[in-house]
Amino acid sequence: MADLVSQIQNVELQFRERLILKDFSLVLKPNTVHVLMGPSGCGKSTVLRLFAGLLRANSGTIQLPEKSVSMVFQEPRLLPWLSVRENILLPLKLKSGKAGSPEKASAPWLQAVNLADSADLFPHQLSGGMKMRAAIARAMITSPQLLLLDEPFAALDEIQRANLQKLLLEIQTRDQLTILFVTHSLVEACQIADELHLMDGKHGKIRETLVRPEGQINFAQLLAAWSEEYKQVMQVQSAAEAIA
Amino acid sequence: MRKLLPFASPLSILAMLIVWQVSANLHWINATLVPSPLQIAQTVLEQRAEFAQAASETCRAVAISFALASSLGLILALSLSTSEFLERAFLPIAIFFQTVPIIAIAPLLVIYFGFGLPTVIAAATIVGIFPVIASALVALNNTPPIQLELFAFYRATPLQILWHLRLPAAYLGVYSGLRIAAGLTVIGTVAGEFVAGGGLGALIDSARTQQRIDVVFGCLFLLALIGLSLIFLLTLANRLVQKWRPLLQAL
Repeated sequence: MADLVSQIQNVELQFRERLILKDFSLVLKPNTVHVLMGPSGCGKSTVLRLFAGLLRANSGTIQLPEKSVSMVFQEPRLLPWLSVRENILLPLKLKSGKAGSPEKASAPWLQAVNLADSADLFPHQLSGGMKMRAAIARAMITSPQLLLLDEPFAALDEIQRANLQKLLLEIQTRDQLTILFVTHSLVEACQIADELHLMDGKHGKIRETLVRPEGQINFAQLLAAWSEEYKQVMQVQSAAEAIA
Repeated sequence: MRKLLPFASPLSILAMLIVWQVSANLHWINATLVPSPLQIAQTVLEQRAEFAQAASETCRAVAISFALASSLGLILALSLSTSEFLERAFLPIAIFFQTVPIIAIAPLLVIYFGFGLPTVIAAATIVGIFPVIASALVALNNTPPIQLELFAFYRATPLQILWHLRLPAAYLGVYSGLRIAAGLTVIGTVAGEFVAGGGLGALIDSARTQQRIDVVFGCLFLLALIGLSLIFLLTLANRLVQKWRPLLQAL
């Protein structure tokens, strides 16, 4: 258990007639950023929802972390009638019925995501990036061991995305988090991933896991190396699909 | 032009009254059939005690009926939203009350509740309750699935989901239903008063038999005033709520 936080083993998931995952396995190591990539509809978000407990597998085993799991969705999903502070405190309120001392509980996270000055604003008064920062703070307030993120920065511009990636990595390093991050962007994967899992479009199997090389490697080198691997995996998949 | 926006309604009413008065003065309209606004105002002033008594009775009936229609409507909508079985079982009954004209049910209500206020309240509540149930039910059943998924992720209880998500998310629907109910409650009250007596409805009925068209028009003005006041109060309450919480922002 020491070298893994959570894992899915030999999972099969069928929705109506459609087989989404077949014999799927994924091990999440502690203090590691795992990135999941693959073609649209291959089951990336399904994997996330299995770890989140929002879906039940038809067969196989899912081992969840000892401490809590938290999730950041594609949309910030803030409640418009709650202030930023109240939105961040929502998980605690739902867990215990009340949020304890709101100031005390929310202050560190408002600070961490640079929203201390906007704590009393409502979501419609925030930019897209600020909303997503609030969503990250809301996910982190329960001190999770595993953080799941489903293409959280897809709708943001490059600058906001880069800022949020940096913020996420700072939080991950500070809190020794395990992250499972779904994205369509190889550039984003190269920015944050310790391990990049490439899924194919057929029953969402992991075809390849690319591990960030030890030691100094710059972004351009990593992007070039992983791009090559990524292309190869996708070509293999295309050929397999053509034969099928 | 934007600065004039708050005055748009009073100005349009004033313009209509001026055109009406001028038309009456110039004998473009038959004063026996359509008395002028000044003539109506004079009648109301002359018989102010009678009008005040009738208006206060109608106001009381409207207030009680609206309170009943709103609260019972919301409670019913909440109950029906908890179970599809309940919704399917009871919605046709609610629709029945909506589609059968109140004037056809009112004589029955007189038999059940007798003449006077209880029958008027029953008639107005029956008319006013349906839009509250229908709007609130649609709104409660249309909570965005992505927010429901968020609450499912946090393992929220059904009561927490209702209190923290479904009710606030349904605010717009509930508010729309209440606005429609406000107007309908006034209609239901007058219909009830026609058969059960009392209030402006009974005054209209007796004026009709005496061919006192000026009295009928005076009653109509007062009824419009009661309806508008109720909608104004609702608008004001909505503004206060919106100042406190931006409940009308899209989820």
